[in-house]
Amino acid sequence: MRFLRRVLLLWALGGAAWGLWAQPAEPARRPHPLEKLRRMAPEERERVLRNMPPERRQMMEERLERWERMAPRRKQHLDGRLSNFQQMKPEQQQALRRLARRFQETMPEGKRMEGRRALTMLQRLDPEGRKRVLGSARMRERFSDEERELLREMAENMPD
Amino acid sequence: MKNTKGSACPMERGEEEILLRYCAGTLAAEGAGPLDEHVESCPRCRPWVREQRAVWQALESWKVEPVTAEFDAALLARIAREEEARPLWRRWWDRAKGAWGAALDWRVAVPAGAMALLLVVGLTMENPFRQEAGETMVKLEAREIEQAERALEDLEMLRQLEPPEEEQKL
Amino acid sequence: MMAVATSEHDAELMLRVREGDAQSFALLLAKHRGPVIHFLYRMIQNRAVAEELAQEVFLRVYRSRAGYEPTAKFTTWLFRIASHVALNYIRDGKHERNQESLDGESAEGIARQVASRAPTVEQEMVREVQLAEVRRTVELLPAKQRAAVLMHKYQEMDYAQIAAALECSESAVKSLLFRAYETLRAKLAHMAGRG
Repeated sequence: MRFLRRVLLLWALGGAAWGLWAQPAEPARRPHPLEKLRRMAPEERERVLRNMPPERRQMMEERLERWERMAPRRKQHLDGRLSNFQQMKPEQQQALRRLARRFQETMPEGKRMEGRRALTMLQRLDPEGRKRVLGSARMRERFSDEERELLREMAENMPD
Repeated sequence: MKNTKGSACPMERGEEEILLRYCAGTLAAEGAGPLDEHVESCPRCRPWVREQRAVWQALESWKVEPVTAEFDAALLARIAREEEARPLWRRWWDRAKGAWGAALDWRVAVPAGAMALLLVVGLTMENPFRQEAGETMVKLEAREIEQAERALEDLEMLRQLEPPEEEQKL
Repeated sequence: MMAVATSEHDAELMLRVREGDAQSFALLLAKHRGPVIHFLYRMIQNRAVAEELAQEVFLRVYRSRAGYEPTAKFTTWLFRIASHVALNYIRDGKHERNQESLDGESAEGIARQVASRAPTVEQEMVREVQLAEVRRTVELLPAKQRAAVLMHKYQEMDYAQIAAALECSESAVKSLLFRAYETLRAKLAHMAGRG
């Protein structure tokens, strides 16, 4: 039994090594469904989305159109961020979605733009720098304790 | 010193838990019957029971709205996404483990898995149906549409967290 | 007897999920999603967060299907996961910032609840104030006491089941419930006979 196991194992290892060696240098990458959707001609897209509930479909189409209207560099930038986001662990992704929702729900409308600016700045800092900036008189003046805490959490969870 | 052990009063016996069950209606009928009479006449138990019933009633008034209709769809889509992200062998392994339980021993599974791997590697290399990168694919399964939808949602979230200046810059 | 039959049925369904039967998972979800979301909502007092956490609970159920063994009642196992998720969320300090305004959502919810009974404006306002008070009082309970009371009151779980869900002894559950109800009596007993 042990001999048989060893033979099988060696065979498998040999096979795997041969497989790796023989792999093509650049394996074909499977495009993300979003990429597929973007590449589709309008009538193809229409056919694919036909069976979706109308509100969801409308939302998707609006978002696709918004992306299409963006400048190429902006598209590249946002896609890069999305790709980094998708590489985060599912629980981290979920945490950021939750925080973003909280940001939209709890940050007063008048402060939201400033919050977005602060977030962009905080993301570029290390934890120590963030702490310093968030503790500054200027930030304390503009944001409540809860709002600053939310910004800190978001900055920590944002993808590059 | 008063002997409380033989007392009929749960409060005196330090057994308020009985009164709690009495108020919750989970005390068996044979226990609840004699307690009815006692509670009526006991100056310690009566107010306790009245207050506990008030709490019970107050908690009962707290109704929660029904679950949103999208809950199941969102959960099943998440499960589908997770399944999609898991390697094929892992999905196969869990399924087999679920079906065969402990009978599936690693000593059988490792060589079998290795053989399957060999087969997959071989087929991948020689697969005449493999699609070339860049080739347009027009078919999208329902699950893929959900993935695209989620990606668009995430993209929108990331966009909305950036200030408009970023848009100007790029 | 009914409860036993139901719990056996749940375990059976879960065993089928283990074998890859998606339909059985849908059945379990349909049956338990309400109680789980309601429990989480009363724990966290934020609708969106409660639904997110409930998704996490059912995802964990699904993820652990391969190793599922029906050693405990399904509901107890499910609420062990739900309590774990809720207590972790509260421990991480996220929930204070996420509670919905008692003036906003609850007033709306209450208005909807009482609309069908067409009460007077005054009665409606009294109910609204009462509900806000109940929510605030429950919210002030320490998290584990809160979980114990919610499982005891709304899920009608016995001490042994609550103990299994909270991973503590039955005497610890008795003590949690005793202290929690003591606080609730002190704060809510005055509601007797009102409304």
